[in-house]
Amino acid sequence: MTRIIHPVPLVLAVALAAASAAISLPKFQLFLVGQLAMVVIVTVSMTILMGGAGLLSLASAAFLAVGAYGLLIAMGPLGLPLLPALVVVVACCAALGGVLGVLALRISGFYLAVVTLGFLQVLLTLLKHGGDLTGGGYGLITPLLSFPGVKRLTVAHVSMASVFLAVCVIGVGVALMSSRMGRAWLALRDKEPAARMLGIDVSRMRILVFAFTSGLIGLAGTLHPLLLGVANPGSFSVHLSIFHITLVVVGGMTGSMAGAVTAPALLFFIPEYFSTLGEWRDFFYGGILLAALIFMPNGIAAAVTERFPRLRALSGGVR
Amino acid sequence: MSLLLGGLAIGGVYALIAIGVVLCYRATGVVNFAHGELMMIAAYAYAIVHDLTGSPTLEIVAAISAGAVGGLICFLLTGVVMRGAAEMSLVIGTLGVLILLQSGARHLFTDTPLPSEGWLFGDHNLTLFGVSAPANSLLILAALVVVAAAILYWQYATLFGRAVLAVAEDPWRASLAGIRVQSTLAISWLVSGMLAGLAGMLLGPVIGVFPTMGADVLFPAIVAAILGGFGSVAGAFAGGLIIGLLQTFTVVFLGGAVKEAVMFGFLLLVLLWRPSGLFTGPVARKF
Repeated sequence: MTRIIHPVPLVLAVALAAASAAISLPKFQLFLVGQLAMVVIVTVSMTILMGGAGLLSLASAAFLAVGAYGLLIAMGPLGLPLLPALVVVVACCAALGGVLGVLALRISGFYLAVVTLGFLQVLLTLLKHGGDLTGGGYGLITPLLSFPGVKRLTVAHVSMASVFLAVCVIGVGVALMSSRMGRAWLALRDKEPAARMLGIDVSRMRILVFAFTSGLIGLAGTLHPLLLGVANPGSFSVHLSIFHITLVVVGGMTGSMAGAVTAPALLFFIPEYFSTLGEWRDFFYGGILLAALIFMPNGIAAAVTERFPRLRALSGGVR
Repeated sequence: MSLLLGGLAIGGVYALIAIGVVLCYRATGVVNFAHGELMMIAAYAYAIVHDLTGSPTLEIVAAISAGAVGGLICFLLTGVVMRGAAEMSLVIGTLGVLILLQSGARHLFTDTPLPSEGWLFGDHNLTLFGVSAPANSLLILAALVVVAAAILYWQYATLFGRAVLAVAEDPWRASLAGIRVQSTLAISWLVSGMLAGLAGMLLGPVIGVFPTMGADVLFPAIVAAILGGFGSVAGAFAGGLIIGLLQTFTVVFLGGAVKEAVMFGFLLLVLLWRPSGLFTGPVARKF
């Protein structure tokens, strides 16, 4: 296939177009789309981690929390401006993910799930008992934001930025999964000894996938307080992690980026439409999780391409 | 001394939970993250029957059968509906059960703990990390010892115990040897659920009955099971008691805030230093 346009400018152009299309939405819808973009970033990262590399992690809420609190602490007590704070926090999340990745070298399967669950619980306890630094159970409130060129940064601006970032992250995800590294992840997911024999540095690949996805989830986490105006420990419970796992399962644990975008787009808006669902939200997601595991174990992308084989080129992912 | 007894009592509950988790892992290779939720529904069953009838026998029957029914539901999901799925999918399936049961309980009973006075022994004033009245602690420990002895005998000295290991090793060859694979798995899940019911019944009066009661204690219990070398019943027994003592002394000497952190650090230490558990025993599976 000849490349007419280099993919990087293409993705950037699409991202800009999506962001400028988003601004024409009414304010509340724009806010919802901004939140959806945040969830898409997390789902893409978790799809790479679970579907691509086959590592079950319950720590997605933890990295979101590190991103959210990290940004507020970097901007508050440390006094950094928004953009440097963002870069520092994402780097910290990636480093922390790398440390978890080093742990994941020795353990896999459910041991990893237990360790990541423990990591999340320790983090939540620290946040609750962090005194003035983390604001205890009430959490931290986002200060008024300024940004070069814009007098005062509003939720609308942040929503646009998160749509832009989400499209970029999808582009990065597609590029990664079809790159040498992505194929190495798929290989070590399927048969670790075989991957090792093919000369893949399994340890390096595991640390990389953890560092990479944790950095991306941290990026989504920094958007959380900017969009919602607050970060409190209650919003980063293990239920949030299981919600992300639900999205990955619905999208397909095959590393399919099409699934990783479709699943949040479908599931995130359903509770908004059926407001009667209200309190039953968690129950509903639990049911969806089990139904997806039973009826479409390869996810929505695979389920659709079985019906419409012509779409196969779009869906990506390897079973 | 009362501190020691309190630590052993909470450790006894952890040990019961850990034995339940290990039992079903030995047979099926699935770590049941919904085990805590089975405890929770058993504790609710116990509380409701207590309010309705007040008869101790009925209460115990209700709690244990609620746990057993929960275990069977988990078996239907992982062993029948999702039979042959990958380990990761099965673990995620139990996470789904966790969410369903927990949010269901939250809507039916709200987050407020049910009052838990006058159960088991009327004179109890056993608080989780404070001074403990001996009656309930002793009851928990007695129940633990009896149950652990029975399970140990059942798993290590009877034909069924060997059948469980055979099924775990290779279901197809086990079935050729005349073992009924599905019913072996079903019985393992059932007994695991009954242990969850017992643990829920014993824990309910101590910490109160609320939707996340099981999820809160499952993590220490799984750490206890890992400490005992996941797969060994005796290891889970000892691991539970060690974790209970560790937690109690941490809370008393370092404060409640660092409880989770100490537990996590301990888990990492065990995993890095002795991934097969502190006590080397027969480990059914390798990773």
